[in-house]
Amino acid sequence: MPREKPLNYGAAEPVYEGLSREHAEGREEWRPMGHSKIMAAAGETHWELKQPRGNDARWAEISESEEFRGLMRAKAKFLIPAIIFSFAYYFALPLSVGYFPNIMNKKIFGPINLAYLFALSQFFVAWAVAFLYARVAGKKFDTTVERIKENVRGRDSE
Amino acid sequence: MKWITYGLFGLIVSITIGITYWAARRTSSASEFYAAGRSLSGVQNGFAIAGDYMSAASFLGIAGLIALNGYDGFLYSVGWLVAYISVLLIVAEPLRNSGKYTMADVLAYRLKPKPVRTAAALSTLVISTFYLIAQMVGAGSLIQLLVGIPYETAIVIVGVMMVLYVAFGGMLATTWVQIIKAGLLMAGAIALAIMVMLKFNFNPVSFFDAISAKHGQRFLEPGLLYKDPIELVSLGMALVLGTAGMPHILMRFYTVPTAKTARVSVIWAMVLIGVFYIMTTFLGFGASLFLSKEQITAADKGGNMAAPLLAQYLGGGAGTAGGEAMLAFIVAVAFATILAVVAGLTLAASSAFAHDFYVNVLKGGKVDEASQVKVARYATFGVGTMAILLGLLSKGQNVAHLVALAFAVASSANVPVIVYSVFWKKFNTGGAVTGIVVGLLCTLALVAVSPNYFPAKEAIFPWKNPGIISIPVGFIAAFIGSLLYKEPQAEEKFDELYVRANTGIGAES
Repeated sequence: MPREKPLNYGAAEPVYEGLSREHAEGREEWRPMGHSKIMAAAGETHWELKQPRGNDARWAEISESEEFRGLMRAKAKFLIPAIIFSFAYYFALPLSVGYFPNIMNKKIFGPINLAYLFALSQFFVAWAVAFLYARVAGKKFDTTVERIKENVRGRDSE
Repeated sequence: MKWITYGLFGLIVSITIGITYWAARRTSSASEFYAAGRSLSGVQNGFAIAGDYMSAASFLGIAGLIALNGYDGFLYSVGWLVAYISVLLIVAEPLRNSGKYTMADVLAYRLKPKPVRTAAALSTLVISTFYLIAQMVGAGSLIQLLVGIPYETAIVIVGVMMVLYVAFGGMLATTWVQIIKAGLLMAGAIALAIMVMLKFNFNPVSFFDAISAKHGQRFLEPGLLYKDPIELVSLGMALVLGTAGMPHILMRFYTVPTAKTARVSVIWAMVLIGVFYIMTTFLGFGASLFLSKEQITAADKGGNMAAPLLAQYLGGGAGTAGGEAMLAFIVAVAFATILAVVAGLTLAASSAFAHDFYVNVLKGGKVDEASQVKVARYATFGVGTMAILLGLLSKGQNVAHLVALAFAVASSANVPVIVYSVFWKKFNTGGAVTGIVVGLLCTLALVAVSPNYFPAKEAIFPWKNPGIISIPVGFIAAFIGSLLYKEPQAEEKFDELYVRANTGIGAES
């Protein structure tokens, strides 16, 4: 796996963001801007990134890009129904054995009843959802993510 | 018999100490201590997640539940796998992309670090402590039961071992203890299940025919253990959502290099965990067939001895060499299982204290690498001592509900804030602190007035599991808290977290 380089938007100078003290403290990547005498004289500490990470506008640019929005649409289209289906299928088990015991006690194969098969099916349904997600994510989402990263690198080297 | 067991215990202790020695020489930076240098493969992490997750309670406890209560024991086991759907689809990848060592890293990304880290460290410590007490008490009584070592000695042995693994070997040693345990546990469960089914020519219908003939068809029908469906739904909600908020599980996603590897590791964990729980049903029902109810409850009222006694029976019965060897093997597997789970919990609790509270809240992040690791080691000694003391003090207490309580806190306090943090732009520090505190207090308050502590008729809250109320309360509290609090900076940084969580751009490597 190639190591992901920290995003540097090609800024020669660190990007100064006027973060307040309570936001900057406790973030290891921030340090107080020590070299501004004017600010020090004013009794104010401003903070800068140890590693220039870029400003909010550049992140916003990615988040508003067509590719990223497409990625999020595709993810939502898969994930929301998958989560709703999985939860509905799971909670149907305790509810149906609790409220419809007569149906669930129906024997299907010899003494093996519907309640047992329904419980057992939970394992296979969970596996199916997981495998399906891994497939879709591997084929679709990962490719789009790679493309977004390519674009970002391309812009940075300009 | 005792000597085989002692020999196998000694073997497990020496192998894991060897691993710790090896890992200690590779653990000097904070990222090595907390995240094994982010160097694990998907398969390794998958085994470790399974090893972190499947406790002795699930191995011995669920087999016993099924052996004594039939179908309802199986019903209980289902939620433990389905839980990983939430982990896989909602938290694993965003967490890997946006955090560093702990769950709180994700919250601190765009919110005010000090208040949210303090709140998250608090909930992590509460969850890990409850879970640890349950595991320690379980470990003490199980080892006493299985090998005849006194409860107190057993607690101290387990406590010292877990502290050694974590303090010296960090995440790397913990991981390999968990991987080995998962391998042993899977091998043990599959071997026993095959030996049970061999007696029925692998024909499930004749297996169930025998159960129905011995205990009556009622044994295979729901309702022997759980009378109230709402109770089960409430427990299910805590399991299915709570796993995605368990700090010791979430930490594991930082040990792999990318979000994709995190995804692969969840898939591996799901295969292992699913196969394990399906096998457990064969053990439980098998024990109900080959052993009498009196035999099982005479050894332990809760049924924890069902699986070990089944192993003894399958090996040739009590007093035979095969029977005693099988019993010793399963007992050793249970021992390894206990060690791996408590090590994971100790690491999670120590990280919450050292990384979140000490380094980032008290010291504002200004701590060098070597001191970070030193503090984490001290925290481990502290957590270990506390766990041993609480384990000793809780002797004879009924602590089984503490496991469910840990999941309920995780689902009500942690899950809402993790989800909002990554997916909701208007979420802010006010929401995070309110969500964690209200979710935590609501869960604890409901349990304090539940049938866990009162006779069923007097309890103010009718269910043992608070999830059905406390989870929505957690979500609503975090929502309202965000609306009441104004924090434009948290909104401005949302794009950054949103892009990073979903693409991995800028993720820790």
